[in-house]
Amino acid sequence: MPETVELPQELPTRILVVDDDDAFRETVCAAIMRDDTLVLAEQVSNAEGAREAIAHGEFDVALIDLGLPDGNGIDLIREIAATRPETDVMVVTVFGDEAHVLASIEAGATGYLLKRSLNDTLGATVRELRAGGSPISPVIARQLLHRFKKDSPVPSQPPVVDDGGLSEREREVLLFIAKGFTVGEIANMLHLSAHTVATHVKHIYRKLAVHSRTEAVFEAGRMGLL
Amino acid sequence: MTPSLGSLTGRVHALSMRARAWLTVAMLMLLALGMAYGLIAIGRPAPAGVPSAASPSLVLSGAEFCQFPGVSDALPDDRCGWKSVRLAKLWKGPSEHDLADAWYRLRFHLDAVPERPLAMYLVAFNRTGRLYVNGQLLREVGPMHEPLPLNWNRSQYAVIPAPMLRAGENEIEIQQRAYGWDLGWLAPIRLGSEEELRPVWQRRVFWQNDLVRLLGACTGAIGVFMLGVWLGRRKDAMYFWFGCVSLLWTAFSLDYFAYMPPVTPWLWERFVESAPVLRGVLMFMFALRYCGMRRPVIEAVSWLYFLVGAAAIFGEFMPNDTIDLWYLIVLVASAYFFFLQTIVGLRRSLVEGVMMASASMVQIVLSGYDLWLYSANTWTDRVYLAHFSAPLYLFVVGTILIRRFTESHNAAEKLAGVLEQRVSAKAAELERNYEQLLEARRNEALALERTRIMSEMHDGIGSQLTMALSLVRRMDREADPAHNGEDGRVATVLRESIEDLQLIIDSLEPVENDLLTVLGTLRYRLQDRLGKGGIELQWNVVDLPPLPMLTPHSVLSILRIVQEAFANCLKHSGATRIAVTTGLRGEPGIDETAHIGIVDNGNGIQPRQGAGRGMENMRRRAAALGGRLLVTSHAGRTEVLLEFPTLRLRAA
Repeated sequence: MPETVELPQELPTRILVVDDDDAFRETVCAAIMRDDTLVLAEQVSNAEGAREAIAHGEFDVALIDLGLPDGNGIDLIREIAATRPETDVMVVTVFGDEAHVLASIEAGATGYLLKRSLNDTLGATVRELRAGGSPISPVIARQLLHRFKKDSPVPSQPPVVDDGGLSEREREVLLFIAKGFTVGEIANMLHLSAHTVATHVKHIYRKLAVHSRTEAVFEAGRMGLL
Repeated sequence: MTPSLGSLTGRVHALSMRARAWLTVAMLMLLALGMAYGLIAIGRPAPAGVPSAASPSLVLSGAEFCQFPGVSDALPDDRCGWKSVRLAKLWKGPSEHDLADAWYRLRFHLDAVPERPLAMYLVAFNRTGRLYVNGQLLREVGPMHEPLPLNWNRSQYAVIPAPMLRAGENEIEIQQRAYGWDLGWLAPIRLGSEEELRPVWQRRVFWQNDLVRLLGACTGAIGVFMLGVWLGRRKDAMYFWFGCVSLLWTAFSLDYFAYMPPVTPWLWERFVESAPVLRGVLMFMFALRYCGMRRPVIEAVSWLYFLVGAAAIFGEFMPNDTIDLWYLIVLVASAYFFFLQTIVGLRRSLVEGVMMASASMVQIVLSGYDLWLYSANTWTDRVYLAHFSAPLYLFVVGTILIRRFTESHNAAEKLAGVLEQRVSAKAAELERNYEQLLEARRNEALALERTRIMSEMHDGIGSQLTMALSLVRRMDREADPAHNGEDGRVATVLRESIEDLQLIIDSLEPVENDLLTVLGTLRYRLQDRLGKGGIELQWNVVDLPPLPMLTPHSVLSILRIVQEAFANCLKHSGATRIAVTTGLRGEPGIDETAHIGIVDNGNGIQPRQGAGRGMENMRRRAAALGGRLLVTSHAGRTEVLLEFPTLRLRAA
């Protein structure tokens, strides 16, 4: 994301890198080195190592590749979301396509990166993410609108705050993003700061994750698993 | 029709319904008033006295009367034992089982033989007989042998030719024949001119006989109609009982206008005597069902009450005074169920209640009047009135029942219409749902396939190309430590391959027919590069309706065209600002097109080999969309406008 928010940060952000592509890991590490605000906490090439790191490591942001030789990145995201709620998870994808990104967000990820352009965008994206803002593409915004509309509570019931549905403002933001407007343009139109708009997106991601979890619990309960 | 207009016409309709109901009440009231007036007018006794210039008619109310033990057609002489009587005279034969005769002699004086015939008007004459003037037969009132005609309520009129009269004393002799179980009677006789008396007689016949005949026909029709309704709706027994009341009334009303009774006179008289109670019981049966009540014990008691009384009448052991009591109890009881009926009617509607109440009241009062007249057991000039109140009651209740019948029919029809509408709406909804289901299934299958291909690309060729790119970049860096970060030739080819793959992937994304999402996705992908190139992007778009033509195939074409336009701006133009516009033109279903404009402030398109080929590709893709590409370029402003048909149908 280009909207860079300057935050007074005493400590550099510690990053866990999970990827089985050596060349890629190397690129990431180089990018982290180049950036003063980032520091490499640990780099692992498989799910087993990642689990170890999740259990014992010290890091603020996890950069996770979905396709690992010994496990699914989605499970790792879920684990982090469950055990380390203060940690941000970024998914590294090849295309940033809706299927992969939404699945990650549902598992608890709050950001994503394109593998090929990571070299240029890593620092800015991580800083934005730590400041509370998440990246989002028009297609994902549209799919989110769709998700929440489908699961919206019965209209006759009065809306309850934080019930997993979207607030009017959040819905508005998603709609503008789906129509191709940038966070900056939306901020202008809604008389908000760019940071606030980006924060809305992160909140929406968290809501989707919570929503998905309750839905999963509900489904499991219905199927007699719980 | 707008809802407000609909409710307005509904209100007007309700208003006219109520107005019509009140109109019915008013007409029935008017009818009753008219009848009452007519009856009072003819019921007024004629003034007795001598003929004068002002009142030329003469009323003969004094007569000589004699009765034979047997039946004889010979004019009796003075040995018969004549005695003076006042008319009206009622008499009874010596034996219950035989016919009996009686004779009257009336005298009147004429100064001279009149030039014109003299009219004779007999208000009441029971049951049959012969009229003589000065010993000469004038006419027979009816056949003198069994069965005797039904004359009790029929006025007689005869014209005496002038030659039968003489100056001075004249004598009218009247032979009267009746059953022994019956009463014979003669009312005062009026003599006068034909001009005067014929209308009097005709008016009496109209009110006393013809009108009853008419009303009887009407109640008969109502009865048949109600029985027909009942046959169609057996569970609504009130129609049956009402039909019975009506038909019984029609049969009973024969007594007022029939010349010969339909059965033997004796049987007919017994029927007429028991009919009022039968009518009361039937009306009671109807009233209970109208009120939605059942009282099995009281119903049984009332039937028993009738049967015992009827048996007494037909068995000839009913005491004369008891029969009045028999009637009176029914009249009092009917006041009670009329009251019940009125309450129920009021609960339904004010109009119905008022109609019920007034018809019942008239019925009770007139029946009471008739009972009083009947129990006096004497002849009077007054007219029996129940035969007017009964039809009034029947008309009123019949109107109510027919109205209720039509209302329920209308309601049923309306309900059926509503149901039909609902069913067809449901059917349409089902069809829609089914189509949506089919569409959803198709989309699901497509989405599944898309996910599979995307996953293949992501994990397969996409990952491999990305891996290759990072390898090449690393090799570039290793080969030249002072590498500036720009991609080398191989890296560039790899990057462009990945970007093209990205474009294909993006074209497969679920954009839900939204052109802005398509363009926004491209913008999102290019944002970093535009930012790096120092190019400001103006997003001057307008929202467009969903365009069903935006399939992955056409989306890819649009993405490639627009991407190429952006690439031209980035590579060659030196532009600092690019504006993206969207819009619609034309009519949906006819010539609607969507357009996408990319305008930059660069130095225009140079006629170069590469650019020319790129432009050629863009035009080809635009043509494949069924659209066209318009390029206007000069220094400071270049516009690439893509126009393509939306293929939307006309809005319904």
